[in-house]
Amino acid sequence: MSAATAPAAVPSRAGHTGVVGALIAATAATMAMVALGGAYLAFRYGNGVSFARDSGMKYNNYSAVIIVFTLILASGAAGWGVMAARLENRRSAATGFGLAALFDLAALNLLYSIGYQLGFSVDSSPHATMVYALFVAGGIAIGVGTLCSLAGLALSLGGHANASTKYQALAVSVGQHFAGLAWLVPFAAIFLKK
Amino acid sequence: MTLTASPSSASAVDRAAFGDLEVTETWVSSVDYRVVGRLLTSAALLIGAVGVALWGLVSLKFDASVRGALGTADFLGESAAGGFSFARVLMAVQHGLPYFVVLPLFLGVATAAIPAQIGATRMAFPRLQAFVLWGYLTATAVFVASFCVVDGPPMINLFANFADSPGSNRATDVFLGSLILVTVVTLLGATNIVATVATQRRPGLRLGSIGSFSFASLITSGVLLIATPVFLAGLGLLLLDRHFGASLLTATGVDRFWSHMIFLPSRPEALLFVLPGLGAMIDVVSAKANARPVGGSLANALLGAFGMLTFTAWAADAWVLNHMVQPTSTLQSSLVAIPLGLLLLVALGTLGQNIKNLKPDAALLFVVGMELLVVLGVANIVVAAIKGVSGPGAFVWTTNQLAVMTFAAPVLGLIAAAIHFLPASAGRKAPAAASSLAGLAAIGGLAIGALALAGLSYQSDFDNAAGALSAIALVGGLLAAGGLALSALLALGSHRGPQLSADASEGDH
Repeated sequence: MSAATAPAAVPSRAGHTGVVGALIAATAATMAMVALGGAYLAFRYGNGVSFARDSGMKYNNYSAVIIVFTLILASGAAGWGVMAARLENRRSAATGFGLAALFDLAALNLLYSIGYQLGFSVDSSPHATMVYALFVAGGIAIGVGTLCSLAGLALSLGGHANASTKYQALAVSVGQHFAGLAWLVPFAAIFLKK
Repeated sequence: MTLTASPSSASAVDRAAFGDLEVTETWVSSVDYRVVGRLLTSAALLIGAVGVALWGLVSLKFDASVRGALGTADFLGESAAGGFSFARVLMAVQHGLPYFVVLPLFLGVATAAIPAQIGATRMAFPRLQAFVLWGYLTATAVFVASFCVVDGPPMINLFANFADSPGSNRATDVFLGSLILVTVVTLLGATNIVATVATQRRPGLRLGSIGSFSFASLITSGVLLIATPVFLAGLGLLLLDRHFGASLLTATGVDRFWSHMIFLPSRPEALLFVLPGLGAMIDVVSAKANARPVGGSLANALLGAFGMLTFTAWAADAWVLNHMVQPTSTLQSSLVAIPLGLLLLVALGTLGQNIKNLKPDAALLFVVGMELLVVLGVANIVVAAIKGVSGPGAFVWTTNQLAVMTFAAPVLGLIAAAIHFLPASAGRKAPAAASSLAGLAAIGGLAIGALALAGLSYQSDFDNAAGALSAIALVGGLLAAGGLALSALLALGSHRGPQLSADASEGDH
């Protein structure tokens, strides 16, 4: 078949596979976080349930807000990594993803600090169980974000983050952005509304 | 729908498409969608066979003389005779059938069928689907192990009020861990299915034009991805509560939480299980009648509507265990009957286009069996509404109805899909005699068991009728188990059947 008679090429969707998969998985994980947040709010304010916070509970609002900003910085750094990968700037991509991973670790450390200072244990009250469930889920989400950033770092250092594999870097950054979004659920449920 | 690839050409295409990904035919290391789908399907069916046999066995407990011999007064009393506990077996079966049979069976059949049906050569993430297979087998082993832990059985029953659960132990953690693992695996499989349909379709193939089974699988996976994480969150809370001995689940008013996050009949999945079977029904009927489905894309639209309406299950208020229209529990959730009925009419209309040339077929037999059980379930609702059930009959009615609508009918629909798609994806056809035998045994056994238990639930003299009817239910369970086991073997050997002849381009509609 000559080139003149060849059928018009149909754009392939296969390049986006990793990004589509990451978005779908992130949506499902966000649903789990939203369910936990919804359960917390239903327990606190719903008809016929409404258990109050135990007296003596300590909430470190400052650290919770700092976690939000830290995760925003991590998402920005991951975006920097993606852009650098598109421009085939390997060192810059590695720096972006590396910083994102460090910000995530800092957020995890802050989360642990908040949990340590809470002043109650999981079995203290129904409210305490819900709070710990939200913290654990938030911690898992940030952990997933950390792993994604480390995967991006490995891609960059291995020379795989370039224009031809830009979708891999983008898929990795989706996981990082999910971590930031996921933390907003416990933050809004526990710290914003008292 | 296209299923025309021969094994040799498909293999060559795979090697070209996979690039550096090695496609081997070994069971353990393969990432080929046909091998993974076949193994997942046959494993789920084998476990289903064991579960159905146990379900028949549990029916014996409705007989007062059996209970007397075991020294327990009621159906769920925890007593062990020689190490055997009916309550423990009932709990294993109730949780095992939906989560360890129906969902993995769906994932297995979809894995084997969808790439071939949408003109793809692979799943979007081949290794992920292999992980789903081995993750599922691991979760099943952990689930069985939880019932063998020495310090006692898991005292959690997700189908009953948690307040009835007297305590917690190590087995409870293992039990909940297995459920969490199988739920995560299900979500990963559903993610892969959606990504495959979204990104791997043959160029030019529009989403609305794909085969009904693929479309139904897409909708099912989409709903699972929204609904099942809520269940996962509920299981996480439950694990936290039980492991640390907290008081969350004994607090006042948590029925609503239990109902919407954990209790199967008031979550969308209870209605959703039958959806892939309905998609398979349209494809099978269309292929056997050699005609396009009546109404063109109407069937896919109805499948989509069915999927969306399953979310109405969340509209139910606190506690729906005793509602009389299981598995639906409210007027809103009963709306799924509209697309369901219209889909049955589409199937009948499609068959009617070429009824004279219709030949007996095993896949068609399973489709008829699924429809039969759905009709039986609906009839059971109507009879119960008129006649009413009470006392011990109410418990039998509820558990039987849930088993029929969330296990028996969906499984028959999925086996129809397996018989129709699995051999064709390898360029083979299913052996007619063995497939038909499996169909007769499975459908006959499930129908006999369901009818016997439905009949028992309406008896005014429950104890007198229980002896004979529970024995009939046991026979039905064993017969169905034989049918499912034979179906599992057929699925496992589906790549070795007789060659698909060149003129047998079934399913190209």
